[in-house]
Amino acid sequence: MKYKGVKEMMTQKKSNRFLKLLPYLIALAVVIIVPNMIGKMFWFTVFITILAKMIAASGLRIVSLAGDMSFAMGCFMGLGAYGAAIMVTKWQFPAWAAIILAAVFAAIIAVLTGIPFARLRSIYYCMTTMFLGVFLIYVFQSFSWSGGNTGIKQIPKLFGGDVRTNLWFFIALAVVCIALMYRFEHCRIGNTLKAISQSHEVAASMGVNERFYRLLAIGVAAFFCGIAGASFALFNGSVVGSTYGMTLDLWIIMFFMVGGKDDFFGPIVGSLILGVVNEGSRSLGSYAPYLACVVLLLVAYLLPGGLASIPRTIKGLIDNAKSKKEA
Amino acid sequence: MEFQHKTLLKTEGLTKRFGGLVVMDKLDMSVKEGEIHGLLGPNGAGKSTFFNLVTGVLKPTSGKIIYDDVMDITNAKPHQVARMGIGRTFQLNPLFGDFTVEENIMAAQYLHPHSTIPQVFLNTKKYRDNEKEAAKATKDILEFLNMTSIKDVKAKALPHGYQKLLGVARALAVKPKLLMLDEPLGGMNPEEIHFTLKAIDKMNKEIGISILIVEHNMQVLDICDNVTVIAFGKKIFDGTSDEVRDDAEVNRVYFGGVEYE
Ligand SMILES: Nc1ncnc2c1ncn2[C@@H]1O[C@H](COP(=O)(O)OP(=O)(O)OP(=O)(O)O)[C@@H](O)[C@H]1O
Ligand SMILES: [Mg+2]
Repeated sequence: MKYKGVKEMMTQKKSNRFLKLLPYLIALAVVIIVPNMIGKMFWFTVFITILAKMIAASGLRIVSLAGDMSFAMGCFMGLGAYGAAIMVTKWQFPAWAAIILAAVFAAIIAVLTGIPFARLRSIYYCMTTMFLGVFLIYVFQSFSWSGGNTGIKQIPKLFGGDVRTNLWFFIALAVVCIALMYRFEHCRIGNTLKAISQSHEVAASMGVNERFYRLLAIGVAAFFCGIAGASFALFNGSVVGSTYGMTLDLWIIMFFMVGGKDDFFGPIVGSLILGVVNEGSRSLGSYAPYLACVVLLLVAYLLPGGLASIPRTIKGLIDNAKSKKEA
Repeated sequence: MEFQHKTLLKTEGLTKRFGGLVVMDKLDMSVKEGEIHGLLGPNGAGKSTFFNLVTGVLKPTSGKIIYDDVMDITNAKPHQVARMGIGRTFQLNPLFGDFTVEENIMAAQYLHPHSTIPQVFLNTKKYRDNEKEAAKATKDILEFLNMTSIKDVKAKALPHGYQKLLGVARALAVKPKLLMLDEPLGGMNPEEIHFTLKAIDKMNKEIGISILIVEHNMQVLDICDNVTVIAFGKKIFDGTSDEVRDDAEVNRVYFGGVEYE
């Protein structure tokens, strides 16, 4: 059997709508953000927040590898946050132990609550995570041992509350977590998850236990969300349940989508840029979230692959131009 | 290859109902080790349903499925059935579209992971050796099915006929004892059909894989040892491929009275 047109099979066409608008977008971002950024201590806190959400958004990517979307990432951050807060204030655990144990706690709860739902796929699974996210945080808000509605206050702060040291700690934490997640995605496990997302029936016919792998993905994602939530709670010195509700989930999903759902670095780029845009446009007051929405819409329209697909898109354009010249 | 000709797959009174619709009606069937067994029947006869019942995608309403003489796989899950050595393709041939041809076959090797999840994550020597073995096996399959030149093409960019062949390659990668092919020749041109039939025959004769094949293209009779014909979920014929050509009942039901060749 001879194969004809192998080269044609391998090339794909790319759109170039976005390139024309890119300079304007960058200019707009710079004009709004830079004045806000100069010489303000509050940016340290902003970046710490962004780094915590970045870890969670990368965790969401792990869940998405198996073809799922989850509204429970914020809730898993909350589990980590509450877990660490209780361990440190009530049981006097050292901070590092509290962070790790709280993350394990988040992972265990995620897997246990995931077991009945792992049969469901795509939108049906997604809906159950929405319910889960609201419910678990509600549990914490309902009991006095977790501080009820007002949450847990006066947690001994990480590094005595020194913001600069904390920023370095969060940078290191994000690098380590993201490196671990990179490894997770780029070995047999990640490939298996990607295979499941493309066809669960074929994957099963090859001997892949879909349920096990999807629960594994949920557990690992929740672990990293737990790390992020626990660390942030200890940096912040307080935990309030309402912080971990639907709004946080929506932000994490926005970071993930704007950055690009098809690239490992998508959630990282997305949380950095969208996070900075959001905080940098505070001068717009209550209109600030709209700017983030504008970015989201622009990206969805111009760059369906998200910001992280820009290099790929440019490469595609150059290749296209080259092949046109040759023809 | 020498076989004791034991029964590799056997169903007893296999029945499947969808609501009131009886799709599979007390089917007794067996596939012997080492043979190429054809499963024929008109559209809607229940052939794909039979595949789905055997591989655990569907649960039988009643009846038994015995694998390898002793194992009862009636209630086994799809991934368990695969691990026992039953590979399959699908009629509609879903693929890992975003994976290349090579990655599709490579992914199928994960069925036999001899390293644990921690070993994989930590990239231990054992895992690296496993990956090397898998890469080697993938290369062999690519060569065997003459697909090396298209190994870097994404599965979704392949023409229909090649996609079908990739389905076969992927099923072969799970190192099955029994390979179940659901209309592997559908959408292929005559040249591709000729090549695929020869490849299937080679898998049987050289690697020693037993094959159960569903096909509407009567050219499969050339490679089949035995044939079962079903209609409306009931067996109407069991015999050798030479006998099936002459059977009056099969001709009436299947070929609408028109003599085959
Ligand atoms: N999930 C289902 N629910 C209800 N009826 C079904 C279902 N799956 C299959 N059927 C019915 O069962 C019968 C057998 O279908 P099946 O796909 O097994 O036929 P087949 O022999 O593979 O036919 P073909 O040659 O067209 O592939 C058909 O009448 C079909 O409509
Ligand atoms: Mg069928």
